[in-house]
Amino acid sequence: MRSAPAVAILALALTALPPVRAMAIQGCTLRDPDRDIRRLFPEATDYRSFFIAVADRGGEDLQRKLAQRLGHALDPVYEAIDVPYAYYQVLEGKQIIGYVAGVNQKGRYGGIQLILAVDPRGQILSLYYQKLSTPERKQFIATGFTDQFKGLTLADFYYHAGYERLGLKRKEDRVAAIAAPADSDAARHDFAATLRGVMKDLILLDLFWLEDRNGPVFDEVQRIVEQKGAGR
Amino acid sequence: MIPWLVFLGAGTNAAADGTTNDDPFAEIREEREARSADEEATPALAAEPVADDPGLGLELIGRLGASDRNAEPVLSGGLGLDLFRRVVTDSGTWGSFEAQVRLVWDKLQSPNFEVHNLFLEKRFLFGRLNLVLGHFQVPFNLEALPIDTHTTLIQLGNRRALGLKHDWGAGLRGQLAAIDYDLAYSLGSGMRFDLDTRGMATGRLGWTSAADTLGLGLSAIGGERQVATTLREAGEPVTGWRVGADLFYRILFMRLLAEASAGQDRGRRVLGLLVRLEGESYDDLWHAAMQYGVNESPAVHGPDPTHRVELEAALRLLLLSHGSFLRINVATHDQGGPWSLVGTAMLYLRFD
Repeated sequence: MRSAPAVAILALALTALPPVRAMAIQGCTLRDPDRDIRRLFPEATDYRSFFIAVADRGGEDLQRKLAQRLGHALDPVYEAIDVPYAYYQVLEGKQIIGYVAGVNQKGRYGGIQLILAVDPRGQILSLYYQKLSTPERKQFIATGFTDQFKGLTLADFYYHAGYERLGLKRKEDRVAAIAAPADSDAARHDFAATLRGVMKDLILLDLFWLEDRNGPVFDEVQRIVEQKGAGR
Repeated sequence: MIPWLVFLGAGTNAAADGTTNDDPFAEIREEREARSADEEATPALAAEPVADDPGLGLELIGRLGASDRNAEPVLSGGLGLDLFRRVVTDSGTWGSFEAQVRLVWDKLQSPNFEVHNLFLEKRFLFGRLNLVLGHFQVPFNLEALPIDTHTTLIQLGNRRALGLKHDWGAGLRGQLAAIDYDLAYSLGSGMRFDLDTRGMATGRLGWTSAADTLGLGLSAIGGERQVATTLREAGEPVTGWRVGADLFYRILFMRLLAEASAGQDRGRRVLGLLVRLEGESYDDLWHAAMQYGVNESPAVHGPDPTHRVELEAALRLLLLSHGSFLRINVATHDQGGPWSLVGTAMLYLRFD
């Protein structure tokens, strides 16, 4: 076959390329950003979009910090260091009035795409599912469920993790107050995935855009948990 | 092991039911609330972007095609540049620029330069009105949707139904309430910049459900365009018109796409139909699609349209080592003679 040497040459040429960082899995982008942002922020006059990967902003150290704060190992594929996360900085005139950011999360029946709209200090204004495949989809997308996330901040998730580690039940634990919208195994799985996805989204927003404003909370919660653990 | 997980489930001074009056994090909360109150008085202004997607990709493509009509497989290659740059200001997004160009070659023909996308898009009114200038996809049927067919899976129908997919021209697109509109006037010359043709007008109105599970569109096109058998050559001028309808329907991880068109070329009836079922894994590692198409294509070298039936299946696997993919397509088609079987394997490497 005359083309065999050419195939071999092409294959060699392709595999011998320098290991430039290649865009693998895409982050979660809004399907219709103009319409979505007008709906989420009726007072907005425009927005700016950015794509940021952990590799661009802190590399392996930042990736470790993300995993540590999330309290879970990161998926090597769809949470890889070079995944470009999409951010929409929402403006009214020249003033930042919020951010919109989404994350991919593995659900029971496929990928979940969670979108958060937050104010400039990282407080959740709204949460919705851009993609969710589950028989209990209606219960999950109902505002009765998603509205429970309104007002939460990343600090609430850090406190919640601390309470869980200490085995405490407190009325101040606003994350623990959110119940799964249905009682099946699949719903519990997707509910846990939602909590993880929201927390990851908030951590990334905090690290990329809010100057790690909740980092001291994480450190303090960790210190207290360790102190109380050591005291026993 | 994450250090603070060591204390997972450790005992505390909590009561037997787990409730306690002692909030260990009360002090942190108070400090944070005080800080938040201070910050509320100082709103942040948009500054220059701190980071952005570089939007520049280099593509390397190797393709091996085999057909039961040819004695030998055909190897072809491509080197492409994919540039997307969004222009942002301190008050929003001005617009964007996109360029997708390639140098392609195979053993049968000399290297050829292909322009796929090359356009500037200026935003007005928060995306309600956008002006497009350059070489862009003709807004007819499914091709007007943001479905990436640039090397992925299976090409949609416009190349077969109209004889071209991209064209040089100007367009207006945007949103009016729940309706997406897309209008263009273009030269009708496809990839080649050629002012000899009178040109054509194209338009599509579309609607998508709030959950993005259902989309519907109506399209129309009319005027003169050049219809060529390949992307490289100058086409024959054809005057005609089409109307089209398209839809997509999403269920779980699958999506059904369909489009139909009808009209006339040189006064002769032409029809087109395409149905595709596609799916993808949650993590984007694989995409698969099956497509069925029927076309009475515009005449290229004679007065009568040709009739073509096509069935194609494709699988795309992401190669993690380079963030690139391997795509395998198997197609069979009938164009008035015996059915032909074509297989293609494509290795696509992209470096950003």
